[in-house]
Amino acid sequence: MTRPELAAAERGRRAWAVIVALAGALAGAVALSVTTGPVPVSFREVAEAFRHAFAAEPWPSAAARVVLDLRLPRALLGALVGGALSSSGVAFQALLRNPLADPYILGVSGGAAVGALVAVLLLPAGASLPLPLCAFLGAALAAAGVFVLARRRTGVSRERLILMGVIVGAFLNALIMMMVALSPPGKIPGAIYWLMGDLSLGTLGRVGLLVPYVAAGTGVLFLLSRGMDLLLLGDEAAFQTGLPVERVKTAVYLTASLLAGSVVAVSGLISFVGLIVPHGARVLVGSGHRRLLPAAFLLGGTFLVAADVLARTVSTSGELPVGAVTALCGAPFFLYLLRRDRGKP
Amino acid sequence: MNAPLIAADGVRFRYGDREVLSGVDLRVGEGEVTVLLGPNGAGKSTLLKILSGILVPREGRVSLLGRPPASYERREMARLLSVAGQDPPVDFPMSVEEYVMLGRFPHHGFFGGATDADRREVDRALGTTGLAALKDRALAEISAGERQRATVARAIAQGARVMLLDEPTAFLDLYHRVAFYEIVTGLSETCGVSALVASHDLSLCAEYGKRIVLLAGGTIKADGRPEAVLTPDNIRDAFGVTVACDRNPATNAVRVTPVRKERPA
Amino acid sequence: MACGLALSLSGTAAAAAGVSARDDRGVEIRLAQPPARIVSLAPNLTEIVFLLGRQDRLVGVTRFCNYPSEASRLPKVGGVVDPDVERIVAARPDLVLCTTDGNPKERIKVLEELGIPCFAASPQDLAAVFRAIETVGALLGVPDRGRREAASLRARAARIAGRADNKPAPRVLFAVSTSPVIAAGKGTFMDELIRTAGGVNAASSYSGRYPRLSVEDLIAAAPDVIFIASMAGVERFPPEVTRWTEVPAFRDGAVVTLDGDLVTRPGPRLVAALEEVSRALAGWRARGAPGRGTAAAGATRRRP
Repeated sequence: MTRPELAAAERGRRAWAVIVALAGALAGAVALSVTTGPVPVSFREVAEAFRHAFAAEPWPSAAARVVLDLRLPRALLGALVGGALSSSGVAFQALLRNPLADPYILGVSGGAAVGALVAVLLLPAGASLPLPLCAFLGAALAAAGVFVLARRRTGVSRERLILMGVIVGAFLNALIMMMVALSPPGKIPGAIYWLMGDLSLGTLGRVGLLVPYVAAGTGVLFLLSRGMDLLLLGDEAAFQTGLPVERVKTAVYLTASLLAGSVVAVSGLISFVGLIVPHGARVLVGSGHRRLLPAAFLLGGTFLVAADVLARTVSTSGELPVGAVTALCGAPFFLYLLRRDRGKP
Repeated sequence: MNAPLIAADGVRFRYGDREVLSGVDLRVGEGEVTVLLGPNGAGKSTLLKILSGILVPREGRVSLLGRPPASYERREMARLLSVAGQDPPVDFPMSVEEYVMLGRFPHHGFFGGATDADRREVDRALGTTGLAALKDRALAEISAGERQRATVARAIAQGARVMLLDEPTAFLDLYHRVAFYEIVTGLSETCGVSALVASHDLSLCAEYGKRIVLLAGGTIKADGRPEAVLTPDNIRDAFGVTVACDRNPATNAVRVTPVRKERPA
Repeated sequence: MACGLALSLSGTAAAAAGVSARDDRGVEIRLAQPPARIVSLAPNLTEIVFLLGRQDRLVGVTRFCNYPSEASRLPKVGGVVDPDVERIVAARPDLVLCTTDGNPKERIKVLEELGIPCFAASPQDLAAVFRAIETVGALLGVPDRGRREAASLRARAARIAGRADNKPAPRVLFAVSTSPVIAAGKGTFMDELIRTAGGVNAASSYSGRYPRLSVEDLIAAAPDVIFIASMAGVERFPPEVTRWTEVPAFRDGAVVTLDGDLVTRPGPRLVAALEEVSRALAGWRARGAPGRGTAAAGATRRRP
């Protein structure tokens, strides 16, 4: 191979090595999460629990139930949600050509919150299954609404998308404030904690329900990686380089919105992950979306699972909301990452 | 005789109430480097966008190799025609090489990987535009002139048969403007590519252009060699400026110099 | 800042004796005669006024004042954190009963600057509730009634505290929210109720007053009895929480719902709440105090 091919292959190998390392980090974070908690469970008991699970034997001990039925779903949910939000963030940043875009910018968060609050307020206490469904429907309707409002004969421009997203978002925020103010006092803490993000609502069943959505969403985005690379050039340049721009933009928008909406429906609004993890991943593997998407997914999952462990262990007055932890810890960490590698491709 | 690469017949276009193009006829053939000259607001960018299929003319026809742009599948069109325009800045970390590689999309599509052929074309484009030494630098780190050349490199790497270049030298200093014109006029020799360059830079067009198309007042006022097109009358009608035209003693190319209205006593 | 304004009452025959008292902020309130028009800015204070038999003088209460039922028919002057200053002033009160636990300081200050005496009573525990009844009784011109009622409540509380000795102490959790689970920790009224009734607060290992507990925290806390301080929207735990029979209270079905107003208002009914808690714990003991165990210790046996 001549020199240019060598250099490119070298960079490619390095990026994939980083991705493998991130996968290892995610596995480590999940392991940490599964072995951490207020109920004392020894490593041996954790291993036993998994052994029983794989052998499909019933779980004999309470410790096993805690590990497999509480901690494992929580860790898996964290990985899925963190990964999905990061992938969605990557997609929105490419679509809007804006490093400050995040998965919530175009109505998903407002719509999901309104849907969830409607469920919280109108459901009798104790019935919580329809809540994710309501949140998802809210997110989907809001995202579709923004898209339809922003659409014109010539297609969807990013300026109109942002404008409509801001308008719809402001309206939905007003609705949210009204609903929280008018809700019975007993329901307010639940509403507020949901708005700050909550991974404790995970069960293996819910995780299983989420997996196909996340897999489909991230899969479609991965197939569109080249398209997202080209969108970065601007609509006209992308068009002239042969990209079916409007179709790709529509596909990216819908996929990223539904991806974010489906995880928000289960975990509430965990902010910051979708905004900053894409940048951190870019520093590690560059802007090419083929490598960026897997890297962002793994980095986001690791980050969220680790933040959740912190949220559970650091405070002596019970759990902290995980969204607060992600913002507090994430900002300085990613600042460090970006300063170290400023400008390097 | 084959259909010309690009043909426009009676093209009209308006933005709202303002008619910008009032019947433009143009032919661009194989292996030519044509300069589309005209003052600001003459409709050069509009014409280029119509030729590349982004805008649709009110009246008139555009055909590329005999077919209208809309009849081409996107990637097929991109292999025929590439554009180096005034793109918005890329706010994400990307190296010059990665940026130029994006131009290879029409050849490998969504799922193909970057092949050795792609890498070779990218290197050639970088070499032609004098950016080989900068290929690992980030886009944000290089100068505006170098970024403009990178846009041209991307259009070259796209490997199309004809390139449309839209006034890329608008804010560049003389060194970069000259460098750009050197590259463009050399394109047909080094790459066998045809080019249509929109510009309002009279003096450099005069020095470098082989065929000049003068667009003013919504139509083509003149089309041909610089000696025929760059006359004081044509330029006064188009640009509203009085000039004197003679020959550059160093190169024998047409030289256009503005004439001051009053001479001091 | 003492408000020594005399407020005239129209049409009163005899001049009643002047009354004075020091409130919980240390402010001395002096009135020429017991107030004829009273505004109460907290539900527990309204209940105290009714207990003292002075409800006929109430001209304004909050929209949360709902006990006894006559209170909900009185004119409303806003909420606890958002009392409406204009409405209060329009009611022309001689005295405003307020609390530092909820009423905004700035609005109380406005009332005082307008010349309306404000008496702040913010009892933090049972003993302070009894004292408040006596003090407010004196301020309202019925000191004997105040002392009598306080004494009766003290006696009831003492009876329960007495019964609570020498018994196995159950681990008790008070939940003020079921989804998420938020427990009453150290320093809350519910904590005092638990301890007075002879139990141990299962949430006392947390440093906050209202810690949020995950299901796993609940398992680790292993409460034997759980009380739900029920209010609109908080009535029972969701099924995915109650299925965890590692928590003794869920295993034994020892979850008791109490009226939330009873346990969150530092007023006369706090003693009634204490009696209910005590009754529930006695029932737990009567069932043989089913053996306790944390999740890690594995299954537990029921003693006959």
